[in-house]
Amino acid sequence: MSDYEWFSLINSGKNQLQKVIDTNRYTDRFGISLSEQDAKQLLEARMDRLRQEERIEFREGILPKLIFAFCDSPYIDQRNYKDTLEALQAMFYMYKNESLDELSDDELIEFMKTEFEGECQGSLEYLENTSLERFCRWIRSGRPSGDEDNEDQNEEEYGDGFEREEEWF
Amino acid sequence: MGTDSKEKRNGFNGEKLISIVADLADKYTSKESTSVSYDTARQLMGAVMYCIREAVQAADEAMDSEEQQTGRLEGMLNAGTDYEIRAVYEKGSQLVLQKVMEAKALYERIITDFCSYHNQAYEDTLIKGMPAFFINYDIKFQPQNHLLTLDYPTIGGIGALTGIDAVFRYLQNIRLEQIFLVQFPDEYVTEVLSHYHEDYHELFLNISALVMRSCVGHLLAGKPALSFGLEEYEYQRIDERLSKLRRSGREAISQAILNLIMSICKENQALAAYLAMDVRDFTWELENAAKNHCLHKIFPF
Repeated sequence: MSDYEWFSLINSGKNQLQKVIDTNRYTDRFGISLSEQDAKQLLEARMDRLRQEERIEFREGILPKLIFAFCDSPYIDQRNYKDTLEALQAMFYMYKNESLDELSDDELIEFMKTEFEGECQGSLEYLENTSLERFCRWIRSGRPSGDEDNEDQNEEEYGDGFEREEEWF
Repeated sequence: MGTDSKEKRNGFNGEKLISIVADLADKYTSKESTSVSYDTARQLMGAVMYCIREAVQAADEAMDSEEQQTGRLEGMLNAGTDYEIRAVYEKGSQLVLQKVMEAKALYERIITDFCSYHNQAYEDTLIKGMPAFFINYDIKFQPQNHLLTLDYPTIGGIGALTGIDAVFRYLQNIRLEQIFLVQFPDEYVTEVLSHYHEDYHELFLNISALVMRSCVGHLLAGKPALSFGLEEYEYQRIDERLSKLRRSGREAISQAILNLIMSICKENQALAAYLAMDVRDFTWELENAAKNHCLHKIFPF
């Protein structure tokens, strides 16, 4: 059995489906829920994404945490709920790698939620290709602090977003 | 998915190790991450296997072949319960820690009167490299990685050993070398080395092998082991002795060298066994040098 097959076996995970469906008990109050089919599709997407990003989850996946973090977002409703979760899940795994695992799950989810509802104004594309990309580049370069000499350049390149990141971290 | 053949990995049921690796991953991430990269997972799996192997090897110290030990390891992993396998892993972890303590104690014995004879690789590996190893060696999450390149070459090397096993074996070899070399005045050793190559300070060469070969050369010439230099007629004498031995085959030369090593080592079996690992290469080089009339290349001093 190759490493790939072994890791896939681990990622197949047990009881994931029920845990995802159980989140409906909380999300119902926001008018959104997942059908069993939606949950299965999300979990299949999870497997694919984990394989693509070469990551492995030994225990409970990140999906329930993402659900609890984003279910109260004004940019999410029943029509786009499943697709948004799928996109957020994919982004999460990708940017765990892009941040060289220097961010905890909570830190990354918090950033994603704040940006999604702030600068991104509900745009998943902006979240993925701008906010997260910029943030992880900053992480990879060692989280440098703002440089007064380059303040103009920084402002031009990053705009308010750069300074805002500094405030949080 | 679910048949035995699909759940087996590397000849044993890897699924039994998943919970141990999962626990290790929790500690690795301080439970701040639900996922790790494949590389990290491989590393942690390697850590678990390393500790389990330590325990299995320690449990049976008889002269089993590597194949037999691997077979026993697989058998244990297939037949053992999760609890039993976890217990073996914990035991192995303890053994790794114990070995690190022993290695540290051995290093401290070596370093008190260590002499590098101005060889840079020897000095860098033992004076700079080893302390860094003991600071940075990751017993829990990466015991299989011995971090150092171990540039100074010991006779026979460390083979396929990894982690603390590799370092411990290396230090044992260094200890034997230092025991051997301390018998000779420093000037003698440096003369042997500089006659071998004027830039010996910068080369990756084994000092004890060169000194041992020098001693063997003097003995073959009918001189005391600790002699300074060889005259032309003494090279002749060595050539004659080797010619006689060659008539009985290469084995005869090897045996003659072994006997001389035993006499040099003065009943220190471990030291003799260590130096004897050079005999095969030494025999080939000696034979070749005798055939091509360049014994002074093998015995420059």
